[in-house]
Amino acid sequence: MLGKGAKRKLDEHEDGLEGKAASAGGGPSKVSYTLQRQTVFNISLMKLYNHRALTEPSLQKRVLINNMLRRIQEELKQEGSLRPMFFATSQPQDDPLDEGYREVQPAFSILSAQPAHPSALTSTTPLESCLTPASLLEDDATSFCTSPTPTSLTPHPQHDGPTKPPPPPPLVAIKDSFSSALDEIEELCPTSTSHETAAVTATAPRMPPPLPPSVLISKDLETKVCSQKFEGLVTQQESKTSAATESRLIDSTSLSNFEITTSSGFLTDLALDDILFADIDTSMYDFDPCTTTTGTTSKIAPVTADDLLKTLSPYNNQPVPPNQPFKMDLAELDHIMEVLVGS
Amino acid sequence: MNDPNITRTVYFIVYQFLLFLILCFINVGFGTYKEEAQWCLAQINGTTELEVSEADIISTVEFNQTGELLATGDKGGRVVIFQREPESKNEPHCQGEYNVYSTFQSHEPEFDYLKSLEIEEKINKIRWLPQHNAAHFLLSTNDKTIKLWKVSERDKRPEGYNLKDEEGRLKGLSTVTSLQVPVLMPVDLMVEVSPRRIFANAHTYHVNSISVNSDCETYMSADDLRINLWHLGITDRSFNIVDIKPANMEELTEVITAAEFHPDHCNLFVYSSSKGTLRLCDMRASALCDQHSKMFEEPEDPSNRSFFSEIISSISDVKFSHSGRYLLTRDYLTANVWDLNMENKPIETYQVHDYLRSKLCSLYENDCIFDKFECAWNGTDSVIMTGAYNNFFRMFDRNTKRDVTLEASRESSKPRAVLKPRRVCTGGKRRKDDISVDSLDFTKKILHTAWHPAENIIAIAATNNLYIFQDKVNSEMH
Repeated sequence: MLGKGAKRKLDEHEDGLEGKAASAGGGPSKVSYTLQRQTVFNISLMKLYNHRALTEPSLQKRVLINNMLRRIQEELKQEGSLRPMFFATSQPQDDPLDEGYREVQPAFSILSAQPAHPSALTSTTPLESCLTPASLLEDDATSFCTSPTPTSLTPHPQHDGPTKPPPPPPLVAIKDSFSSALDEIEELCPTSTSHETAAVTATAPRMPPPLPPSVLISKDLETKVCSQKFEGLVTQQESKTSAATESRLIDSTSLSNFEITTSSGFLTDLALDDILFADIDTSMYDFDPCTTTTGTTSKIAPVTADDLLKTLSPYNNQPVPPNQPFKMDLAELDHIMEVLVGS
Repeated sequence: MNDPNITRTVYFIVYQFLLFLILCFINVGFGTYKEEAQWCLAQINGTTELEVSEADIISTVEFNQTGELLATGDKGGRVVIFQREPESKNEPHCQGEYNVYSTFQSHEPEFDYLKSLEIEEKINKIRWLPQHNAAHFLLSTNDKTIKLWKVSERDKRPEGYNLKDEEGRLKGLSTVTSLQVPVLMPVDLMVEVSPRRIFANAHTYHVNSISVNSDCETYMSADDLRINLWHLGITDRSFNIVDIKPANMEELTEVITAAEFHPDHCNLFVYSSSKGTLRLCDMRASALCDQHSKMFEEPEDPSNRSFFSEIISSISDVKFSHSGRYLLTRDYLTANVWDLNMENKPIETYQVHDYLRSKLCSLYENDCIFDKFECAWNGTDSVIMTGAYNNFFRMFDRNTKRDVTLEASRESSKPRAVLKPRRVCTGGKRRKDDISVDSLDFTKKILHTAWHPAENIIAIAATNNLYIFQDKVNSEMH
């Protein structure tokens, strides 16, 4: 908070941000809209899963956060199904492994080009430092907050039913977050092209890569880790294979793997579900091998990125045909379970 | 003056001027010209320590029906009752101070063994019952249990028992030679508080509101998903009158945030939701009032749409006007007045702190967006009041459409000095003493406010301090 006497700079500050957003390429409001959406999404997730209060958390708060997550998920689903040209202006990936799926680079992938610090998943940096400082996002109020195109924006989700995935893959009953996290992990491997992994992009809609870093990313953001955190996929690998990083659009079917409403139990009366699932959830969501680029992360995961990468890489060396994914998921899940239980 | 035209013109002008003066005097004389209220600090109760213990944070404030008593509840489960001193002839300026009348521990922390979670002892709401005899009754509630307390005075003591001596020990029968009638002797005033009823085990979720019915026999308690109707005399049974819990909790998207009975019609009550809707229900229609009689909802403004639209539309407080005709609701950024006869939109909308609209993401991050501000009517329903951040509170005059922002702070309020209006500048011209949006202290929030039912006296809870402000000019409202 700036002191009373220091307000002269306010306009410049705003201009700076607007300039940033404006020269973001493509539609500036779209880019910043996606950026903010991602931030809000991550904040929401953290709020839901990092709560360790002695007393029962407020139901109203949980419901509101949950609604927020659902809405974002709906939007992403819609965007996936519409295959929007939002990112049309973005450079196509040099290595379109999957012509059907395009994924826009995260704005902060540029940061991944920086020397990556060793995995510091066990660091205990406070959560807040892992987020894009929300204040930086919101000075450009209208363009951030309002939807850039009415067509792509889902109307206020009226779904009264649970957001069930159409063809639930096996074992999704265990944890949807499992598969989603798996997808995240798969994305780490540049050769993986399974459709399901596209699901992860639901969490990380990418920005056009060629955005000049100086424009979009201020010094502040570079030093703040969050960007990686909430992209979830800006990895050391990506820095190596930035050109070859797969690009996918959010596929509506792939979203079926991805259930934001996650823990079925967090809204029930029984805290049993919370206890049962909370730990697993947290570990999965907080597992971010990609936050290693600047060496900070929000949570301590029981498993290091390296372990999981090792266990999964054998499965991801070749493109996976469509009828394989379920088997692969199974094997991966087994591995992960082993690793988790083992630790 | 030679020219008759000039003369006539002059006379005309003078005549108009005199008319004008007469009208002014008439207005002043009849008292329809009301000056702006001039609020000044009457007293502050609370510690000045920098380290605020969490248990001292005031969580609810409520005047009783006459305004003679003021009750506050805090996070530590205590209730403090203030009583207004009768005005003394010596100091006419000092209009009745509120002194501590009684303090008691209402709720204790509990442990829910099934869920392995603590149940906070924080007092969520206090409601006074209308007074019927010398004693006062109030309902206080935490997240799970509602208690009915009797507050009575004792200023006499019987003395001269036959079988007991002064210390209460039994006298030997042989020493009793004559019979005496015990006499009531005056003693120092003692205020006794005792729990008369405990209404427990009826709420799975956190109780957010209680409201006493105008029939003075029943009351309701509302939690996140259900509203129960109780009889004040019966503690082991309550009737469920609203239940919005879905069969599958996964489908839960809306919770109840506040509920209140109509001040006059014992069959009507209203409850608000986290989606910004108000539902008016009639208990005569059916036993379970899941079907509302009227639903008040303002359609969303598409130009103001954002991620946080739903969260900021969540209604944090709802109050009927004293007349029973209007409803006052508070959501995160606005206060709205609704006419019971019009459901599609509020009749008045007041922006409390619209400058926060561009800061919603930060406020979401630090959880401030979930703060629940209360609102209050004045006795004549002409002014509404609600709190904001930085220890600011706002008052909106519904007739003059003027509003004022005042601050509850020790530094800027000298007793009996008129409060200076504050202003938050949002870029644009900045005046001296303006505060910029970025300098606001979001930890100093005024969530709980109360207005005396008849006079211009307000009680403001600022964290652990209770401020009482009085209107210097108009002690009675017109």
